Amino acid sequence: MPHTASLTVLGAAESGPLNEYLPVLMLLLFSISFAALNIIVSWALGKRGQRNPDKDSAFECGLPPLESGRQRFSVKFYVVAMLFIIFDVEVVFLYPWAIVYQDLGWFAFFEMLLFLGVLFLGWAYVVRKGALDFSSRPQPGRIPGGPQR
Amino acid sequence: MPSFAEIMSVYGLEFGLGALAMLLIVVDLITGRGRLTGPADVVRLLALGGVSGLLIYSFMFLHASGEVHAFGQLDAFALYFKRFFLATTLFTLLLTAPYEARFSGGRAEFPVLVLLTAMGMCMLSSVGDFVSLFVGLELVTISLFLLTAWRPGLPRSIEAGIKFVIIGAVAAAFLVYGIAFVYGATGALDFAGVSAAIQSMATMPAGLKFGLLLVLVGLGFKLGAVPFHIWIPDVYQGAPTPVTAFLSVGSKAAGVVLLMRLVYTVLGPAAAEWAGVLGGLAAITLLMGNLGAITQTDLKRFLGYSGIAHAGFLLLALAAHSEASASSILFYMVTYLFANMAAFLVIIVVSRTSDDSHMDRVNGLAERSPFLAFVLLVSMLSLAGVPPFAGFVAKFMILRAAMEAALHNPALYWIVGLSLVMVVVSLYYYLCVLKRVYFREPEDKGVLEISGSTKAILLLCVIATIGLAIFFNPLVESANAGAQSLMGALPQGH
Amino acid sequence: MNELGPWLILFLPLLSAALIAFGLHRSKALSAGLSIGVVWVGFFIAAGFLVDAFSAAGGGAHGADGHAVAAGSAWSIHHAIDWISVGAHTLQYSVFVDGLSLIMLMVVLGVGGLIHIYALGYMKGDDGFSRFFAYLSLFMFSMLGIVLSDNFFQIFIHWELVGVSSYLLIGYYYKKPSASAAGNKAFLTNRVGDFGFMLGILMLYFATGTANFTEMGEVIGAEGWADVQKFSMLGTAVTNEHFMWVAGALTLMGVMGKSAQFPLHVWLPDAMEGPTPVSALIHAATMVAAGVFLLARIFFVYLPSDTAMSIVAHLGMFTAFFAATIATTQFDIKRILAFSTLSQLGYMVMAIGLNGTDVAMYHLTTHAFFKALLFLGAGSVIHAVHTNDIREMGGLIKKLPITSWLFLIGTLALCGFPWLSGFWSKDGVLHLTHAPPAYADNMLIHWLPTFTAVLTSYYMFRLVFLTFFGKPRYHGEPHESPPTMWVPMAVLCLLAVIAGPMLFTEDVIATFRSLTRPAGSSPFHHIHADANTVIHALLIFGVGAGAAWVTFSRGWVDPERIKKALGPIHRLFDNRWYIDDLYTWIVNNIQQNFARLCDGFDRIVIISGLVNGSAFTTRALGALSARYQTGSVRTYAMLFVAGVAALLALTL
Repeated sequence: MPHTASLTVLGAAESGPLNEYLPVLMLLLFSISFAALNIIVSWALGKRGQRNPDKDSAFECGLPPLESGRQRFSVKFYVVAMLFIIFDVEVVFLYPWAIVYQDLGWFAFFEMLLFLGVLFLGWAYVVRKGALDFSSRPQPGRIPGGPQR
Repeated sequence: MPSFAEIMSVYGLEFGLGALAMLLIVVDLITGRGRLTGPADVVRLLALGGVSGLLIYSFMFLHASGEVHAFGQLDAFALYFKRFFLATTLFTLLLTAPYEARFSGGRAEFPVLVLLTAMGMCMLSSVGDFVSLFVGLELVTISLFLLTAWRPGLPRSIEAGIKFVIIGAVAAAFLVYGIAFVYGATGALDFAGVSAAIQSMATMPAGLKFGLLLVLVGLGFKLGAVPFHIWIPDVYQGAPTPVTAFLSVGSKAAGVVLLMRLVYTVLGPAAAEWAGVLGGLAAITLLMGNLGAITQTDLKRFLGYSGIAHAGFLLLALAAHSEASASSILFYMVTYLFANMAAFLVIIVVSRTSDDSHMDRVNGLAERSPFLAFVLLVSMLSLAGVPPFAGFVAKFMILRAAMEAALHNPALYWIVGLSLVMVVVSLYYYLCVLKRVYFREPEDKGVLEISGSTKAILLLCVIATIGLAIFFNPLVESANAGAQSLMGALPQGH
Repeated sequence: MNELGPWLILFLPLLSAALIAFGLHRSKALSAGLSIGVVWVGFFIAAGFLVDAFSAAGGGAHGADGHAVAAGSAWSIHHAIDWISVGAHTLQYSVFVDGLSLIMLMVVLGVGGLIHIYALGYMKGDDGFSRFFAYLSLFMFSMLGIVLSDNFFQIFIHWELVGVSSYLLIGYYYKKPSASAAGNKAFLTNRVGDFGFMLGILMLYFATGTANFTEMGEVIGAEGWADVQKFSMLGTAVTNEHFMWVAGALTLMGVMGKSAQFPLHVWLPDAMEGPTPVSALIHAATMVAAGVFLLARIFFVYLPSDTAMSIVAHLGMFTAFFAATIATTQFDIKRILAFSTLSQLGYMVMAIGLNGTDVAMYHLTTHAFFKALLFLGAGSVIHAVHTNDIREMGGLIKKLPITSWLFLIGTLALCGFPWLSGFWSKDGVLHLTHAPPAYADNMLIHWLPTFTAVLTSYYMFRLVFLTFFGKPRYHGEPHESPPTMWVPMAVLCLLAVIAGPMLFTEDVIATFRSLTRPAGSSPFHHIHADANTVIHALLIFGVGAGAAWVTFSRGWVDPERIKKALGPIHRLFDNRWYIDDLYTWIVNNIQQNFARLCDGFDRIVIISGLVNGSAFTTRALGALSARYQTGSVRTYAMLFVAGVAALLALTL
């Protein structure tokens, strides 16, 4: 049955609107099989029955996988993560811009200059306000998201 | 591809606001010397000067044009609201001055966020497609999330911020989902395209209706229409008072401007079918807002409910769907601005020793400061719609437009009747506040000193509130022009 | 200046009132100076207009003796701004200066300015000195608004403002119960008239579709009463003569209230509780004249109907007679003057009813001069002897020579002594009554006003003899008033003397008439000071004054014997025809009972039933609606989504 179902999808792909989504489907299948493969391989090759708590604990980085979700840790992580995401997402904007840059000409150039200027201002703000300052010296009047006291 | 000049001709003010905000950040960074609170006075004065300048600029040099671009337009309607938003921003910044000392940090960022919010609001009055609509709305909403939680030392403020974020996220999700459905049904995202598609349909498909309803939900959240008003009391109470004032006037007006644009331009002639939905929302909003206000004991919560009740009036005018009703909404917003700003400034003054805005703070205010008591009197009576204050004229205009519309749509008679009953109810709770002001014994008998600038702002509000009741023609004329340009954008006459 | 002038005239007094109220009141000198200054600035602007108007109208005025001048001069200034537009109805706020309002402006500002100066001396040392001048300025603003209005709604607003400011001025000594009661009485009586006035205005607006005098005059003038059919509101043709009857009668009520015509005259005598400058300003020169002015302004409403004109004429005639009879029995110096004012206003109203608007306006002008003079003189007397009762005066001519002589000249002018101003104007009125238009041609109109003129001489000379001549009966040592008081009186006296041909030469009078005669009224004859007229006037004067001389100066006839001989008639006069008693009875027995009924209804049904009941219900509902506001954000989100679901379910 699964065979016929996927065949119908593939068959329809030649004319139907889902044609373009075929790569997505393939990516999905690939990622699922990659994860499954990893688990299967580690299960097959790993030395079962030789586990101890130290071995199960997270090594060097990351959080213990099985624990209370209400653990307290530095809010710093969140700030850094958020800043990363924000800048990351904004920079993504450069890709479509780069593709149509030739067509749009100088207008696009100055537009992007402006955009980057604002972005730079944001970065300068973050630096100046000490949001990336990892020292935990107590500084009075930090903004929320600044280093912990 | 629109030229830069074209874009600036519509979004020049927004550009100015954005540049001003950036400038403030630079000034803060340079002069702040790494300290986390920059020179608040300098930044605030710059913000005040900049916004006043832009307001003057908008009055003297900006002219409405009939040109409709793909990215938006600067018609008389948009211009009216841009000026309104700038005035609201100016008031918010002015209200911040006496409040600012309570901020533990971020005094310089506060005006920046206010300016960015204003930028979003101004943008909303010009937008011509759903994507810019969403971007503008989120700019407003997200800035307001931050402003609401601006006092980390005050648990109520944090709580309000979180509640606002969660409910706001829900509303935004509905909005985007609705936009997606509208796009799916019409294949267009710009207002003109959607409108043309709606016109070409004999009946609206369910998917389109569904999408539009979800958009209505998203905007009803901004407006504070029941049942999307639930966030209002808690958020109003918890937010710093200048932010509450900003929320109650600016944020509400952002909802109003978009709803009007959608109902009048996008729905166009099809809007008649929607009178039932809008009228129903108006009725329940009037009912819940007014009844909710009665039992309140906190001034800011109280004004929140009163704001919901006012949203009911605005929805009633939207349901009436005529040029007169559109014009009456524009007029209403201005009277609401002055009355509300005066009330919030009084709250700031009376609760300056504590962050408690319980109604007991105004007990016996008439003894402590007759001037403040008088301001509150004018403000409350104008909100209640008592002559000779501007609120009366505004309510009168809405009811008159609704009565005219009721000739074609008799169901409106019932809502008008309900609104009249609710006006009486509202008189009761507004007078309850005034009773405290004039007849209760004050807890603290000390004379309330108010600064000259505060006095001047309050006096301006009072003069405007009384003046607009006596000499309202100029404002009515520009409101009419706004309404006309909005109706004129209709593909066919209605 | 033509652009700005009228606005300045109108709004400077308001500015002055506001400035005094909001700060200047701390300095008495500044307050008074500002208040007086703005009136005189206004006066000189208006005088400039007068020169313009005369040069514009005077060119055509040289024909014969004024017959040839076309009715209604073309000269006018008109600026209007749209004040309120609701739908198709636009309400304008305007300044409109034409001949009629120009004359009125001159009277109000000129006489008013003199009275302001007089008040400087009279009110000296009073605690509320600044407050008084603020009120005066407010009053001037209100009054000038009436004069400068071009439409009914604006006039009504200022009509009410005049009511308020006169209330404030009459009740100026608010600590004195009789003064505040008099203020209330004036206000309430005027309210009765204004209520009718408002209904009348609305009906006229309804019938003609405009509130503007010029436009309304054109509509009514073109179509007459029977055919006014501009039903712009409901589209039904109901308007007919009956409608206009009611409208006209109701509008007349406004005139009756402000100009104190019978039966709404009762407030004027009591209003003498106010300070004397107020009596002179409000109750002689300006406010009471507003009714007459209005009548001249809206003359066109009554013109198409002979019966309506006749009613106006008879109303004026009766008031003139009625007030004169009461004046013969009073002893309060200001009240005698008040009743005399009533009587003279009656003359003016009558003249308008007899189609003599220009004569009425002329009499209004001269009357403003000499009656203001008499009031100021009375004030000077009261200032000196500290009583109002003429039985406690006598022989004051030795102590107060200036006041006495000025007062005497004023009296002569009022009585129409030949070649003084009153002679010319009153003779104009009496001439009308001797040759009235056909619709009012009867014996009463012929002779009652003449008899009233005799009565006028009688009661005025009774007043003069008892106050200034004979044995002194006063207490204390009276002194002549300061120059700030007698100089304005002297100026007024000069005007009262020369306001005949000396000031108003034939050309001037002809122009005056062309200015004050509204379109539609028939051109009227010129005043002839021939032997016949002079003898007639002297006869009237002689009989009245002689009777007073015989009785009160010589004592040949004992007043008590006249009282006895007249019996019930005297009692009728003395008790003011029992009108006040009638009103009191109506109030006590009818209105009070009705009020009690309403009160009971209000307490039981409205307050306990509706108000408390609905308050209870709303509170309960309010508490219920607050229940869902739990404070938990989960509940909120759920309610939000439930709301969306409900909306979708109900709509889709």
